[in-house]
Amino acid sequence: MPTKFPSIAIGAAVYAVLSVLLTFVSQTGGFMAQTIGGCAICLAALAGPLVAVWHYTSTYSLTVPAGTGAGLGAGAGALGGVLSGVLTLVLQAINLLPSAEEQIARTRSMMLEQGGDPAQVDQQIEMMSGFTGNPAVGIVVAVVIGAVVGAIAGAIGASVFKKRGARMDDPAV
Amino acid sequence: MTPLVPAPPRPWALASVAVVALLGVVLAAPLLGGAGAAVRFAFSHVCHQMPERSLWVGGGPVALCHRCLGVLAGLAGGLVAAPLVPRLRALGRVRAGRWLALAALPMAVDWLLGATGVWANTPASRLATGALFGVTAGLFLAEALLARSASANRTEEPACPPRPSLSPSPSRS
Repeated sequence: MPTKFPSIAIGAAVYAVLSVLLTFVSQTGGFMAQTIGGCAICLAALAGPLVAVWHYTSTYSLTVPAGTGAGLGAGAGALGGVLSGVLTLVLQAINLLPSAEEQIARTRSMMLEQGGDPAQVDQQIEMMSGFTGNPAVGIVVAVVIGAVVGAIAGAIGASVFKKRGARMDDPAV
Repeated sequence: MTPLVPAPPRPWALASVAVVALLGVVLAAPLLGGAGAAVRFAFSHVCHQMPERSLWVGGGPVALCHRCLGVLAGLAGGLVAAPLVPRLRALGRVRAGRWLALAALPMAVDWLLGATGVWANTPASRLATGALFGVTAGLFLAEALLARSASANRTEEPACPPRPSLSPSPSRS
C-alpha cells in the first residue's frame, strides 16, 4: 500500500499556514480584515484535508474509499492542529499575534456590545480563560477538532477526487 | 433469514449520529456552562465566532457563526436525508467537485458582497447559503459512505459458488 504520510504532512502544512495567516489577518486588522480573515478560517480547516486527499489520489493515481479519505483528512487535521498551535505560540511570543488574554478581552467586549448579560458574559469568559491559559490544552483541543473536521472533509474529498478508470485503493474495503 | 427492513449501513449511521450530535453540542453550548465554554473554545480553531455574526441561545452566542452553523446544519440534513430520498442520492453519484463548487458559489457571492460593502448580508442569507453548501456536501458524504458499505457487503459475499476440485481426492488415490 502506498505511504500516506507525505500527503498528510502536506495537508497539515497547508492547514497550519493558512490558519495562522488568516488568524493574523483577522486579529491585527480592522473590522473588514476580521470579517475576511475570520470567515476564511473554516476554509483552512477544510482545505488542508482536501489537499491531503488530492495529493494522495494524484500521486498514486488512485480512487480512495470514504474511509481512507476520512483517515487522510483526520491525520492532516490533527497534525495541522499541532503545527498551527505551535506556530501560534511562537507568533504570540514575538508579539506578532495578540496574546490569549487580549483575545479573551476582545471577545468579552464584543459580547457585551451585542447586549449580552454582563454577569453571564463574565462567567463564560472566566470559563474560557481556563482553557486558553494553558497552551497544552489548546493544542490537544486543536488536534481533536482538527481530526473531526478533517475526517468529514477527507471523506467528502474521496468523492471529489475520484479518478476515472483508476484502480481502487484498499481492495478489502 | 433476511430481515424485512434492512439495517442502515454502519459507517453512514455512525457519521450521521456524530454530525447530528456535533450540531446539538454547538447549539447547546451557551446552556452548558463550563462544558459549553470548552465547546466554544474547541470550535474557535475553525470559526471566528464573532458574537454579532452568531445565533444567540439562552443569552449567549452558539459555538459557530451563522455561516458555519448553516454548513453544519446542512451537512447533518443532507447526510441524514440522503438514503431516504433516492433521487437526492443520485446527485451524489455525479462529479462531486463541480456540484460542490456550484453550491459554494452563493455563499462566496454573499460573503464577497458583504466584504466589499456592496450589500450588507443578513443572518438569514449567511445561514441559507451556508446550508445550501452543507446539504450538497452531506449528500456526497452520504453517497461515499453508503457506496463504501455496499462495496464491503459485496466483498463479504462469494462472487460464485466454489468450484468442485478436478484433482482426485487423496482418499481415492
